[in-house]
Amino acid sequence: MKVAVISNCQHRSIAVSIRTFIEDTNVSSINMGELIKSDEAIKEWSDLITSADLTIVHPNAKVLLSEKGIEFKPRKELIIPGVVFAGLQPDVTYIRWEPARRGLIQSAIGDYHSAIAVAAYLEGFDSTQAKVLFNKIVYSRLGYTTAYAESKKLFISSFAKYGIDIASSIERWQSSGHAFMFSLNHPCLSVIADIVRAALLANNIPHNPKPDPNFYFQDPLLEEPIFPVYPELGLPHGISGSYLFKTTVHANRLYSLQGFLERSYQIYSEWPQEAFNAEAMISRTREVIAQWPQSSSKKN
Amino acid sequence: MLPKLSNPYRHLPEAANWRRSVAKSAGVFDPVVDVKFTIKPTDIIATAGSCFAQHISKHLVSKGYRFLIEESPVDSESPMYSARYGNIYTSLQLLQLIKRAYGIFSPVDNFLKDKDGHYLDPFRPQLFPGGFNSLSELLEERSRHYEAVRRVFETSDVFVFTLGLTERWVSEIDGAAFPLCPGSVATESEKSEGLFTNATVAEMTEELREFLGLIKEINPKLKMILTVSPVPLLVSASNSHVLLANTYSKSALRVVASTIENEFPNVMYFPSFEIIAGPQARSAYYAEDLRSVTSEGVAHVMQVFGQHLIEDTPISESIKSSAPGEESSPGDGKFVHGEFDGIICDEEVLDVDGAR
Repeated sequence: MKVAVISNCQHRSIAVSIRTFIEDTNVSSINMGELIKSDEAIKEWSDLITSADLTIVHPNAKVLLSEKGIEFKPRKELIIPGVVFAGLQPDVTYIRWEPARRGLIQSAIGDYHSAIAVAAYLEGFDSTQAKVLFNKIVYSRLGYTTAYAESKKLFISSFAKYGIDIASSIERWQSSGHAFMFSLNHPCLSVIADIVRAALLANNIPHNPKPDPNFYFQDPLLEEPIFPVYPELGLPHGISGSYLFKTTVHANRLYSLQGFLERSYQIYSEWPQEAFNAEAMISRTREVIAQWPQSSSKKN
Repeated sequence: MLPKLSNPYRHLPEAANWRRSVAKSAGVFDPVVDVKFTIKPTDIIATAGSCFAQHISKHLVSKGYRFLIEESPVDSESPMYSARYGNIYTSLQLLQLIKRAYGIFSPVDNFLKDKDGHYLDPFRPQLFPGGFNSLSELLEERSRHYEAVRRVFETSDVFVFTLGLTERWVSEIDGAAFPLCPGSVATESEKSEGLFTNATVAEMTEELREFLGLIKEINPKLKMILTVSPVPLLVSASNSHVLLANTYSKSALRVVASTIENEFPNVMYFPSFEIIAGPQARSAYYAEDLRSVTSEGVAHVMQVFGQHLIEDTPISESIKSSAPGEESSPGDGKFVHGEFDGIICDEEVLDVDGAR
């Protein structure tokens, strides 16, 4: 059997899940962002999809390709949306600023920033003072303590739209006691595996749901940065957390909160202040922490 | 036609009648008529407050309830609470404890110094015998303490707090509340000398309201049991006779407790004060010094407490709540078998003449 996967950064996790559940499968996968970059890739994937028995596609990929006037004709198509779950790491944000590499400013661990850290930097807290802001009262005022329930609802409905039932899976991930997301858009392999299983089942595609991809393959997204689930936010859901921030495998660093703040502050100091101003989340966060009555100990 | 009148006192319950329920009460005196909530065997209980609150801690530990210990007492001479905050005598101290632990309030005073030049924590001056050798040592310990305090407030199901005093010492610079006048325990202060105030009902009520507002943000399910310490004032700085000062203190604290109980559905007053200090006890629960509460008195309070507030049989001993992924340190939990006999009152240091 030949399977093509066009998705976002989760494409490799989908691919290893398919390899596990459908024996003797030849799976090719690509990130849709990479696909549309070159005519050569488009030609190659057009041929691949035409010959594939099954094409798994992200809904946004269809839109993206159609906007580019590219028409693929899969023999059988299975739509699997990307996983986005901000409920465990609601503090994650991107800082988009065009002059930056890829338009994204980096933190100590890469593209993911802590909104509190950025806001604290802009408000003049030094890195030691900023550490104090990582507490549940701040989280509560920023809406982080209710984010889990909201994300869960959104997550379930976004998959139900495509006939994929993941409600019971979420309960299982939660009851494992461990974070099931590396960041808001990087799920653990077991999450993708459950989603792929549910999608194959919903579409009557023959497969063996029993093997565990984690036993046979390394989780592809482990190579990427890991943003922690803050313990105060994980605990109410029975999920253990930490304040450990992991870089990519390439950079190979694990930062404590203090270390993360210090390194991120160094990076931020290389950019002009206006680089951070565009993000609405940062403005909201600044409003909350600016009310923090620590003005006597702040800079200035 | 004239309206018909009825006597509203005619059908009142027994408990409403002084003669029958106080003057001639039979058996174990029990003034609890109704409770807002009970403590489930699975509930995690934390305690704080004046020295009388230590009796409650001790009892919960000895009876095997799920008493939360986030920080073991420094030594066997230390007061036993869920974290190392020492005795919290006033509502202002309680409010500022939560504010300090969450960085909302950062007092200008970080340390006191004793005669040997050792550093003392102005907010726990007697908790660490001999103090700290350096300021950084003190600040590191305090940072760990604040983490523990945050866990106490975030993870407990029931928080028992005993209101102790209206008289308090605050920083004249930023209003930081000290458990004791800095000059009574130290020879040097970083900035403040300490200013005496005697809190009003309005001030204390507002402080508890603010405390409960913060609690709602971090642990909306928390139930709070308020008690008023029956232990009389040891000494008063109010220029009043100590007996009059004591009457003001207990009356004001009692009003605050009822006001807060009436305002908050998750707060309940428990009458340990009335059980010990009420005329029905005929002062029998006070020791020779007319101040210390006897073990019989404590047992009576805890019997009524258990009867009305505790559901079923406790299922476990005191617990050390660990942050997820973190192991309990072996030292914690060793104090769960009621080894604490002494009740530690910081106030004793104020009794400079040794008068008891």
